[in-house]
Amino acid sequence: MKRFEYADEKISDKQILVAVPSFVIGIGILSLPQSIASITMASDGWVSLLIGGVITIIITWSVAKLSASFPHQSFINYASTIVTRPIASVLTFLFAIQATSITSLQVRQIADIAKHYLLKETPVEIISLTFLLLIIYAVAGSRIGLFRLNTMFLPFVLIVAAIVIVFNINWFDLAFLSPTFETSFSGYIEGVKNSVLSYAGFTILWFYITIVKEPKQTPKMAVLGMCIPVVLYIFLYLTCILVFGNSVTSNLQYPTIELAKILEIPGGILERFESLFFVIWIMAIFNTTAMTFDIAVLALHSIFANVGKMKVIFIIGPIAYVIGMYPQDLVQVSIFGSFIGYSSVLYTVFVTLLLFVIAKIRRVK
Amino acid sequence: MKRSLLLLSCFTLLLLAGCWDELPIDERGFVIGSGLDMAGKNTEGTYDITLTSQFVIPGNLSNPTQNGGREQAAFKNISTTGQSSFQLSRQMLGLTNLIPNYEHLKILIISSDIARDPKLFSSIVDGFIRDHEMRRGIKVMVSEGDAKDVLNIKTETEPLPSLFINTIVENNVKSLELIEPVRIGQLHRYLLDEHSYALPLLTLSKDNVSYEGVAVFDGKSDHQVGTVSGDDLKGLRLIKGNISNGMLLFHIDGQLMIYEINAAKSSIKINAANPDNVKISISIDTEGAIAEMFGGRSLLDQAYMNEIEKQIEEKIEQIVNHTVENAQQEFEVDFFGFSNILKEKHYDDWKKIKDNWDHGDKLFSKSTVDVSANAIVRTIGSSDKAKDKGME
Repeated sequence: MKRFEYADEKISDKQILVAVPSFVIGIGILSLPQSIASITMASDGWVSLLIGGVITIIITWSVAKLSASFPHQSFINYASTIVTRPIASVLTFLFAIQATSITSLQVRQIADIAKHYLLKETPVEIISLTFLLLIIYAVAGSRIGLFRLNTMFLPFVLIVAAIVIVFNINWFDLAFLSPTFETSFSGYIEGVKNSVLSYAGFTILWFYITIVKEPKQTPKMAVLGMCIPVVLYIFLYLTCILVFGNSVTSNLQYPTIELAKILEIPGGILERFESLFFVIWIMAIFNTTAMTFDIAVLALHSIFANVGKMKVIFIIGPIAYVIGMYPQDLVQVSIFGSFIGYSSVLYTVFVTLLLFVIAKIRRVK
Repeated sequence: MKRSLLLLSCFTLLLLAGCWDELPIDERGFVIGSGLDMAGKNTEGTYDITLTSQFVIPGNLSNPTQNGGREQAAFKNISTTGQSSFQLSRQMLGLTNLIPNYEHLKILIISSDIARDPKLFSSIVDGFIRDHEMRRGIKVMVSEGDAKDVLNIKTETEPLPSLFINTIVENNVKSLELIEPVRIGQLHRYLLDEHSYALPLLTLSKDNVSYEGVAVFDGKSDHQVGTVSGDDLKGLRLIKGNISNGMLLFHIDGQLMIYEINAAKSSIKINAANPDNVKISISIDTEGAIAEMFGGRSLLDQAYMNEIEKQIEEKIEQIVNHTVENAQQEFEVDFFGFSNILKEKHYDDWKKIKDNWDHGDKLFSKSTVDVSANAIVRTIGSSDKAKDKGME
């Protein structure tokens, strides 16, 4: 078999701009309005989403800045110069574990949703396996290919999201917005926590910035990229509130999908919009999952440089599958999900601070 | 290498050709209307519910006079009795060769026996909200009489009773005495919130069905507490505002005159500073035309016009006052949405009174409602008068 080879394994910083939103937009937003609405009053959740977004953007900027200050060096390389090789290997390995578990979580969640809405009779195991095999196929090819897929899919994802918002305008009821600012302080904090978890997409920055050709502008691009999901999530959340009201939004499992379901395009051109919505959204989730899987591969590969890429893929694949199939029901999946969310945010903050402080102390440039 | 690839691709054919969820379209039975009736109360306090589903028979729909000219119904109603709506829809599998598909369900009719039971109504609707196959656009209505019979009415103009009813509840544009259809998504919110509400009410008379009232529901226990129709329903619509068409009968100089409303707006201001005497002031602005008159006076007289407008205003105030009084005294529930306004605009006051609004101390019934209307007659139609004064 002959594979198409791209000129070099380098990307431009514009591709980071696209990769960040492609990575963040995925399953999270399908249920996010529910978790935000259930802890805030009326439409107050946007405050939490905005504050959460600002926090995420700050973290994104610091991670990108740190990575970009070591151009063309892989994470393990520059981490080694800062905190010695063994510690750097441990840090990288933890990233690999994290990326693997995110992959399995994504595979499991997409299978659950597909089973609920589309394929009632097909077992979750089969849906997951099919999806995972597709991911493996994507990752086995060139990394640059993934970035091109991102650039190709993201416009469709954004257009579909825009359609969901625009064509629901005639269901809007402005009365659902009030009373404003009646949420308790702890409600806002809880909301900020949930929104930061759903925005979490820093992992890719640690690894992908190292293959950017000229990483000078990269932090700016990463921040710009991060703004896209923040704005999109706030709009989608407000659409849910305006259409359903707070009480219903907080009782729907996937409010964003319900939005797509009630949508009617004037003239009856498309009555079942949710089928199109699913197709496009599965593309978005595919991008997210393919990138996490690729990062798991990249991280492991950088520790064990003499093991071939395909071998690494076939080691991680089954592990991700087994982890994904382990939770028995929806509650366990969501516990697993929030555990992974917390750990990924906390771990990134921890690694950033660690590398930053030690680099300052040891004056590594 | 080549041979193994060939084997592999043959093997994948086995996996790719099948589809777990395939179901031929001619094996599906599309349900377009469902009705729920009370079948009986068991001794353990549980209920028996009858679910009637209306299946479409597409063949008879397009070609109703097959079989030697004898008319064939384009639908088939199947009823089954059990305890939960989901169980019932599964039981239906045993009664027909078709697999019920609820994706095209248009209407859900609930008999008032179920609606009047506090425990049953919300529980029985749950199945229809939870199932992903059901869409949130299903129109919900209450029927006086058995829902089963409503789904079985005979109509000449429309082969499917469900679609007939579906159109009836949508034809509210021209009338002040009907409300907007309520969709199950909206009902979901009504059930979750504690505000009282109203659902369209169908009345069965012999072989026909008519829609001329609403069923009023208590928001907390979610059961029907009464029905409102006629002038009281007009009052409800006028309070809610947002009317684009409707008519009003009134008398002037002992003669009947009809005012056709082209647009009406309402604005409601609430002062809840004193919980024991909440002051609600409603002002209603209408615009319209004279559609019909029985008298013979010229309408092109400013003084007479002013008098007409004053009469219309008085009539509106009288209707609305009666509606509110009736709600305060008879049903003791606020289905006008005053509680929504309190919650949205006066949240601090609402927190204090929410448990005692239309429950507990019944503060709603003690509140003072002040109505003021402002009517404008824009045009008088194409003729000034159709008879001369000599007729009087």
